[in-house]
Amino acid sequence: MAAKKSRSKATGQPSGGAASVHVSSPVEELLLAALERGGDSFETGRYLVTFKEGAAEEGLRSLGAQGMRVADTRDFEGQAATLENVGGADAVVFPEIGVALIGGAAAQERAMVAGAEIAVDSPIESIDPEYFVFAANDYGWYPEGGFAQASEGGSGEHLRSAARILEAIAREVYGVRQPQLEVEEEAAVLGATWGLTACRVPPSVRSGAGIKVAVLDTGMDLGHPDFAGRPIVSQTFVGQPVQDLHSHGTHCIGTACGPKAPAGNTPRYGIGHQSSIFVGKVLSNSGSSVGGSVLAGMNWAVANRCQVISMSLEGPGGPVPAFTAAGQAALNNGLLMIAAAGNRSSPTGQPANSPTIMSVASLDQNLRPSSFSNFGKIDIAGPGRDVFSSVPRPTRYGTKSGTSMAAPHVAGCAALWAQTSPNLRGVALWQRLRATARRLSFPASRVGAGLVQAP
Amino acid sequence: MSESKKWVVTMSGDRSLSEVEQDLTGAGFVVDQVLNEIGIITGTASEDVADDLRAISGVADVSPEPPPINIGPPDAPVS
Repeated sequence: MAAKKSRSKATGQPSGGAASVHVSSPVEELLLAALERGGDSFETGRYLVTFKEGAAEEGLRSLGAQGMRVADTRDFEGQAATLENVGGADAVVFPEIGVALIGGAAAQERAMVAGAEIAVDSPIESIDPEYFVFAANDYGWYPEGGFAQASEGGSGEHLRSAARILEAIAREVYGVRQPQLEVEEEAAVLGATWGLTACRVPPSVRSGAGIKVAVLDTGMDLGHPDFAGRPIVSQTFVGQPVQDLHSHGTHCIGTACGPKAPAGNTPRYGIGHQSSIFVGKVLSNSGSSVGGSVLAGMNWAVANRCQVISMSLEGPGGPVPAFTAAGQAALNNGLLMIAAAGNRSSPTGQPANSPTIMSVASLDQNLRPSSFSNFGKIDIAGPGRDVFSSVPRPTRYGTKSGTSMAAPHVAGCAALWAQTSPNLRGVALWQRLRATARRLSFPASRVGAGLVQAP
Repeated sequence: MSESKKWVVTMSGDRSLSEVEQDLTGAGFVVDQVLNEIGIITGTASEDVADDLRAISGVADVSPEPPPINIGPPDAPVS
């Protein structure tokens, strides 16, 4: 009896890190609490509650009814509430935008955490973690032959000072200097590839953390410096080591899962920078499948419950029943298979032509369908012409074109969407990707629902 | 007797994979891979045997193994 009591008490207690996070906590305290919580999440520990349209007042009252001390920005001159001057409030409401910011402890005590079930008649639309925001980079795309220099000035200074704060805290907490903090590296980012910019990846706060992305291809350069320290699971199905001696697989993985801030002058080219990478080598170093290697790779990715399974491979012919069954098995398990439509300016090949597998067409930089891109059964489109990404050492980076490059853009964005909600899996994830795609003035048989967009 | 070929057998999901595998083997199918997550068994048999497999309960489809997929060399203009 006593044991039961103490257990229920323990589960009712918010974790130490979150408990110390108040609405009025200065950013240094938030960063310190984040470091104490561990991991590499950029969540602040506070939560943003978005109210349904027109329901902000009702929402404000509901927070008060739950015993929260609520500060209203209308009580401040010019609604310029700074979060440090709201004192002991549990929540600050921003009625103009229908959003409330709630301290970690206050939210957890009331089970108002991200992903919580919300009643249909609640004034609350969604509850999401608040993230640290670092000054935005200048995201442009860069013409061939080099990358523009980042502009000096305010935003870079902010990043560097944020990095200094983090370093100082790390020294205090760990008693050591941690020279490679992520935000410090971010200060060196010189923008992003045209494809990431077109998919609105750079402004997204999502990272693909907690999402397993399988890339079935020619393997990967497992020693590529841009992936040092990343969780990587790999398996070969072609009788050769996973190490990629072709380059195609390393390029596709780069787009879907590459880093947020590659070293030096390299622009950002990767989308799900905190996703777990599952490398299935189903194509040999000469670029060919071997026997049933593609089916074996699909089976492996489903067995590992990879929420996103990217396949930049295509063969001619009509739908293959086995691929359709594999796609259905994935959907039944809440997983999504995404495949390149193919590059023969002809009807979509297999496996993308299976109705259970998402088919991806290629776009040029002017957002027109690429001349080579297959057509017919197309579900969505992604950047596929002149795509810059990782290739095996010693070259490290290179540009490739094809629907093979478009598919990992969709896979990376799928990982970001999957991170936003545990309900966005399988068919729901497929529908969300299509519903949020940027509409293009071309027939669906060329571009499907349009250009994939990050959340 | 016709020449042996590679086949891909897709399950309907009505029976357990191991039961169907036994029936396939009993009909003369030489099993290569059992892919239990996606309900697929690959293997080798003659055309005649493959025809017989289609009548086995729990089998949705028997198709020749698809031709190899080839993405071309590393320096292919498109891939």
